[in-house]
Amino acid sequence: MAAISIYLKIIRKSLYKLRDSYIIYVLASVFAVAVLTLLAMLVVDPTLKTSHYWNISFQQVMYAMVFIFAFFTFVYMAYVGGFFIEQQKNEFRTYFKLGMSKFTIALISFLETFVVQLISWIIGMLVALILQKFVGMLLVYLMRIDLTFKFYYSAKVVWIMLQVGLYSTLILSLFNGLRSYFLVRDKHKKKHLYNHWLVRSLLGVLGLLLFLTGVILTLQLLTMGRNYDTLDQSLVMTLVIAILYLFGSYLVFKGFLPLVLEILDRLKIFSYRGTNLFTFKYLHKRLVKNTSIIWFITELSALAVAVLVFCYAGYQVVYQDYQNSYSFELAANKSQAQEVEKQLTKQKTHVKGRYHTPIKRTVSEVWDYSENAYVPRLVSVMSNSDYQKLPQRLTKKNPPLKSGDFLEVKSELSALTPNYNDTRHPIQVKNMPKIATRKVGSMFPYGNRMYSCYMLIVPDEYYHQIDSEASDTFYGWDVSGADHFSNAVIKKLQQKKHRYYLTVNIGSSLDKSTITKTKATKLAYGEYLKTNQYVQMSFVRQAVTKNVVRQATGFFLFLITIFSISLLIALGSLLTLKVLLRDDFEWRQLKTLKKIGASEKEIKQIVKRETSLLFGLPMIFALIQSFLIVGVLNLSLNTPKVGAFVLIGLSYVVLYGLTGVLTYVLSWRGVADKL
Amino acid sequence: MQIIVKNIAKDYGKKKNAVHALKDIDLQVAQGEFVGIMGPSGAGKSTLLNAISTNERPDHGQIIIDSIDMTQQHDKTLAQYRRHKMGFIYQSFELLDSLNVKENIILPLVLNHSSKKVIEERFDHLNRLLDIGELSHRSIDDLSLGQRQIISAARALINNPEILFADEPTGSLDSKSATILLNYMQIINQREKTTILMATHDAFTASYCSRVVFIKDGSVFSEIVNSGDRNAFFEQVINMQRTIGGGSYFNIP
Repeated sequence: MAAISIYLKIIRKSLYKLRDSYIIYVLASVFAVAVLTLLAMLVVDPTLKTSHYWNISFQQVMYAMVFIFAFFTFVYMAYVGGFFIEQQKNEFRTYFKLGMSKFTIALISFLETFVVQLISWIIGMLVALILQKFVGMLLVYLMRIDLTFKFYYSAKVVWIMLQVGLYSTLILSLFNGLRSYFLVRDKHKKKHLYNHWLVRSLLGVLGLLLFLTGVILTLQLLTMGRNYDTLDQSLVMTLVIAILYLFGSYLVFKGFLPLVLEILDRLKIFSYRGTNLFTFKYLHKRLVKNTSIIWFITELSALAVAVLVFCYAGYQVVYQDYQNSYSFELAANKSQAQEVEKQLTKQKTHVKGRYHTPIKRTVSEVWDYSENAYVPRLVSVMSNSDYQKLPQRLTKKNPPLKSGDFLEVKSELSALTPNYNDTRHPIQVKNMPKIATRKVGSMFPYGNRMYSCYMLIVPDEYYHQIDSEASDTFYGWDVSGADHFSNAVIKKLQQKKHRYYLTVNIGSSLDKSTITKTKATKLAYGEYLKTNQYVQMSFVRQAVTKNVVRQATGFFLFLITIFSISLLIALGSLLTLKVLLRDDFEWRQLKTLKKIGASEKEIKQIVKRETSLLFGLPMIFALIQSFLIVGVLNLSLNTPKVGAFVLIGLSYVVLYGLTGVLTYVLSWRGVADKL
Repeated sequence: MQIIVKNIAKDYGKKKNAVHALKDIDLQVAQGEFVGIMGPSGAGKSTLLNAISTNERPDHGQIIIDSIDMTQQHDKTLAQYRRHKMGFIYQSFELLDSLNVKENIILPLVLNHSSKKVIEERFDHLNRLLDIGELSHRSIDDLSLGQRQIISAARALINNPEILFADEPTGSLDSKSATILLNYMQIINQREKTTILMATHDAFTASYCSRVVFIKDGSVFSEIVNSGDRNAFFEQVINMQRTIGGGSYFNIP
């Protein structure tokens, strides 16, 4: 009984002694658990589920995210939880020397972890319940859904989370119990060859070379042309750069930076100045001791910044494409134009503007970069004068055209393919002169859903000479406010019977290729459209697309925000704990320095340098490495998106810098208290 | 450098469990004096040294060194003072494990931004005097306790301090090393007029002092002045220790 009381006292004392660090760990864990619970609750939320705005895909993505988030939460808790056992290493070893069994020591750390984990899960779930409505409202707001989000807690989710929490707590406690079980014996450290200073320094120099090679290749990636010839090469290169960065940065941290500090230490001109003699050695030790963690944080931060830049740039492209495809609220072809007009009159919809343009369709040959050959494709053609009659707000999104200019219009999303802007290969339109010089744009008049394949704006003279094989007229309406169409009307307008197929029948030559127009039929299960077979839409309500884009972008914005904040908190807390959890040896050193005559200001300076090093290194290396994404974007989106990188990078620096400052303040407070 | 301690007190712990380490102590040390502080364990010797050397602030009272009240000075000024004017041989050595022997010794000069030439000259001087040349590039972890004590002393002496504080400086030394160190302390006391305050349990060590102050339970109990005859002074110290009591040494019947 007395023994149990002593064990409990030891646990209580340990928790108290490490309270500052434990509070940071618990807060970060509470946040992670709260987010996990919130995501799980949103998956089953009845308000969202019953709303017709809530797409099933959103629910599935959210469901997948719950698992991904749970995995990372567990990894974080397991990894960081180990710090506290490491911190108590000497204490456990003393207990062992005094006769305490390894099992008892393991039991003590098991219980200590159990208490901390349980507190984190319980508080985290309570926070989730408190924030449930707020987070739901945030999601609804970001998705711009007109919905009143109601507070809801699912007993089932709470029960599942409690079970997950309990299992996780038990597993992590067991982890830490085992850690301390194997930690108590003084092990003679194996002298690895790479720990020899010369080998380590050589590896460090090699690491620097690898890293610099990565930087040079990244810059080269930015200047690489985007075509199929270089695509494979550039993909391999991206992979190579990532590997170079991965190994290079580790070796730089492990060998090169300690070497720099070693050199500075040896150069008396630097080291014989104030506290430098001590600082260089102190930082050297701190760096070598924390190499793995700094490297881990660097790589994860680089990945986070890169993913954020990629998502942001992707969002911009989707948004741009949507902007470009959205021309009129309502668009239709000849077959449905009258019906739309009738419904507009019936619904007393205020129509601001009506437009219509004749379209010719024929066969053309375009260069296929993947096959390195000309392939026959359907082309929709509009005359320059008809094009110029359209509202300026549409035409200004494409390059300006003179009466004799040709314009090739391709979807903005096709910008994801290489050679988007490449006009080296002329376009051959059936029975017409080759179009050698042309401009490239992405704004489809009447919206890209009205078109199949690509379109051309051609000079009037050229247009008149084209022998159309399937002509049509496109109509567009600009309405003021809503169109007031009921679901029944929309269903009627969208009936498949009004659509038709356009099939390119490939002949032995372009002249012998033709287009057949057939009635659209319902495809049987497993049946797909053939190559060079296209569907012509009869009616498109583009305002709906607008809402879908808004909702999707809002939804992903919500997830990315949640994930990036969580990642920042996790990494920030990781570094903060690494700075705060100095071992006894490090504390003693700072104390001794003060006794010898170093002023508080000088010791403060050491703490500042230490925090700057531990925060600055991951920040600088993460930013350099994540710049690779700019090269990747250059290849995939045909635009380097440097602006997006600068924006995300700056936000990362600001947020990380603030965490660093906060850590410095906490760290100095801790040091000052102990001095 | 004259030291005047006026009515200083220092408590440790909270109200209920407070320990009165120093109780209104008054003490005067003239420039160039070699004063020993003796007393049983827990009497407050180290606390008194720490307070006078400005490592710890007393709860009240004044410590006047060179006509400056140290208790009223900013931490930065105190650090400068410690660095420029004082040397301290700590009982627990207080060596920096991350630095090697030479770096530990020269650290006070480096902190003072002394020139490389001065640093090397001073180090060579102490090297010759204390015979520590072989140790200079060794790690602190590789030294015996006695060697650590010598290194701690060398560090305290490297900047030619005007006041030298020594807390049990010979506690870990063999008799030969102890004699060398004490002789050196006596030399710098006599030649350089360095003021020395030394806390010790050892009567032989105390016999090098010009005066010994005995403290008990945080207050000055008595003091003995060295008339010049070291053997007689040694006897006086032993007798006073018997009178004051405390510790096995003091309880000899």
